[in-house]
Amino acid sequence: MPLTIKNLSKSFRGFTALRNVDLEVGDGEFLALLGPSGSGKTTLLRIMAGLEQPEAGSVTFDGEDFLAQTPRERRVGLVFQHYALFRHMTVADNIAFGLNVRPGKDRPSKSAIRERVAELLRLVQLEDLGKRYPAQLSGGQRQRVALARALAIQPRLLLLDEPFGALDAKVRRELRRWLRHIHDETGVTTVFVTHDQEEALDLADRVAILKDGHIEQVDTPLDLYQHPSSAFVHDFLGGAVHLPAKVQDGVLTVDGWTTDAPEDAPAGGVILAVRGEDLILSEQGITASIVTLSPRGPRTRIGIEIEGQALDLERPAHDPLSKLSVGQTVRVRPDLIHLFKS
Amino acid sequence: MSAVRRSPVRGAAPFIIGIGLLWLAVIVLLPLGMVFAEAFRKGVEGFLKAFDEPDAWAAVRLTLLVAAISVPLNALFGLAAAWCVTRYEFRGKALLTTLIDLPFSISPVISGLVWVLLFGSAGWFAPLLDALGIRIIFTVTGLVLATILVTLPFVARELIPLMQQQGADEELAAVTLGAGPWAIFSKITLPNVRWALLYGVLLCNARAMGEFGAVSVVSGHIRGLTNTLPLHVEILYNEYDFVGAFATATVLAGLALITLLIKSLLEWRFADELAATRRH
Repeated sequence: MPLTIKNLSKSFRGFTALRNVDLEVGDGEFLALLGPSGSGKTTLLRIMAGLEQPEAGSVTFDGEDFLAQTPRERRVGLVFQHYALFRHMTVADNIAFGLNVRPGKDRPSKSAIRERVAELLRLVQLEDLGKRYPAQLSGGQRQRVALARALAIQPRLLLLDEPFGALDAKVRRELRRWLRHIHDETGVTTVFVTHDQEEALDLADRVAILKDGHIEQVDTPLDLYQHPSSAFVHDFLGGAVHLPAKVQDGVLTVDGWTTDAPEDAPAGGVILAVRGEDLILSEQGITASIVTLSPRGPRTRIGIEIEGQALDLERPAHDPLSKLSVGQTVRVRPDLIHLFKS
Repeated sequence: MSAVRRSPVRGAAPFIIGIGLLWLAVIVLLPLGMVFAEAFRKGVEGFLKAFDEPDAWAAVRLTLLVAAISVPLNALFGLAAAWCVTRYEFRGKALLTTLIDLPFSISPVISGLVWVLLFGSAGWFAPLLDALGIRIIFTVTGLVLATILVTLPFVARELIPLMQQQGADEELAAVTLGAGPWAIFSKITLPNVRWALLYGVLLCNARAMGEFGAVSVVSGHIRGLTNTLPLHVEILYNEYDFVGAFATATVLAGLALITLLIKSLLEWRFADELAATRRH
C-alpha cells in the first residue's frame, strides 16, 4: 500500500484528536474519511499534508517517511474547505503558484508553466476564466480552481477537506460526479474528508469511519452498509434505533417479542440496531407508534417512535404502513437483524 | 460594495450631506485655510523670509530624518506583532495586544518623559551611559525613541483585524504547494495586507512628523540640532514671529497633503485590483 499510517496519535491541549489510528490507502484509490464533527478526520488529513505533526505513530508513502519530509518534499495537493485561493492573484496565477515557487533548477520554463495552466483550466472546464480574480467566481468555480491549483504540482496524493461543504445542494451533486470523473482521469490517490454519509458512500472506493479520534471501520460502501462492525457505524450510515435485547440459547428477545437469533450472535445482553428500511408491519414484533404521516405523491414519509426513539421511514403509497393513521400503535419487525454487544 | 442603499426617508440625503460638509468645513478646512492665510499675510516675500533661516531647513531635515528612521522600524514591528498575534496561540497574547495599544492611551508628554527618567542625567541608566560616553536625551536618538513609542500602534492596529479576518488558510495552502517561508511572506502575506500596511505607514508617518508633546520633552530645543518642525513652529510663535510660525506650519501641512496625494494616487492606480480583492 503506498500510504500507510500506523498507530497515529495527536492531541491539542489535553484534547485527544486522534488515538492509535491505523489506515492504509491503495494506489489510485479514492478513500473517504467519514465522521461527525470533532471525530478527528480533518486532523488526520492535515497530518498527511504536513500541516500538523503527530505525537506518536508513523506515516509512510511508497516506503518514504512522510513525517520527516517537508510539505514540498511530500508533493501532496490539499484542497481547503473554504478553498483558500490567493485573493490577490488571478485564477491562472493561483494555479501556477506551486510551479512558480519551485527553486530555480526544478522550475519549469515560463512557457511550460503557461501550457500546464491552460491544460489544467481545460481539465476543470474554466478555460476562459484564467484572468479573473477569485472574488469574481462562484463557489463551484472557486472549488474547481482550488482543485486545479492542487493538481498543478502533480501530487502523489490529493487531499480534500470537506470539498463540497460550502456549496448548495445542486452544485454539490454536480461537482461530486465531476470530482469522481477527474479522479478516474488523473488516477491520483485521493483522500477526502466529509461528514455527509451519502456523499462518502456515493463517491468513494472505500470509506473510513471515524469516531472520537479512532477509526471504527474501513470498508467498501456496500460492506459498511451490510456488515457494520459497531452500532455507531450502523447508525451513522442511516438513521436507526438501538434497542436493548437479550440472546439466550439461540433465541433473541426484545420488547417481549422473540425470534431466532442469527447464528453468529453474541450471547447475553445485546443491542438490536434497526434501520427504518428494514421494518415491516407484522402481527408479532416491537411496539411502534405512528407520530407523523405525510403522503408525498408516490411515497409517504412515516415518523414512528420505538421505545421513545424517533425513526423516519419512507414507503410507497400502497405500502400497508402508509395506510396507517397518526396515533395508532402497531407492531413491526425487522427483516434484517443487526446485533451488537452492549 | 457598489450597491446604492436608498434611505427610507425621502429627501433626507441633501440635509445629511449638508451637515457633513458644514462640519468638515468648520473643523478641518477653516483651520487649514487659516494656516495658509496667516502664512501669506505679509505676502510671498514674508512667507519666503521664514525659510531664509538655516534653522528652519535644519528642522525640516530633522523631521524627515526622524520619520525616516521611526516609520520603517514601526512598520517592521507592526508586521511582526500582527503576525504573532494572528498566527500563533501563546500565553500572554492578550497582554501583548494591550501593550501594543498602550501608547494610544497615555499622554504623549509621558511618552517623552519616560525616556528622560530612563536615560536623562538623573535617570536609571545615567551612570552606565556616562561611563560609555553615550547621550540619548537632547539628541536625535532621544527624538527617535520618543517618536517610535508614540507611533508604535499605528501599523499593528491596521494589520491585526485584517489578518485575523483573512485567516492563515492562504499561507497554509502556499505551504502545501511547496512555498518556503520567504515566498509565503513576500507572495501571500505581504500582498494580502499591503493596503492596510500602506494606511498604517501613512498614519504612522503623519503622526511621526507632527508629534509635538513627546518630542518636546526629550528635545532640549537646541536650534539647528534637535528642533523638529513642530517645535520650530512653537519657538517662532512664542517669539511673536506669527508669519514665520505659520509659514513653517504650511510645510507640515504640505507634507501631510503630499502623503494624502500619494495614497490617492496609489488607490487610483490600483483601483481595479482593489475592487476585485475587496469583494472577497
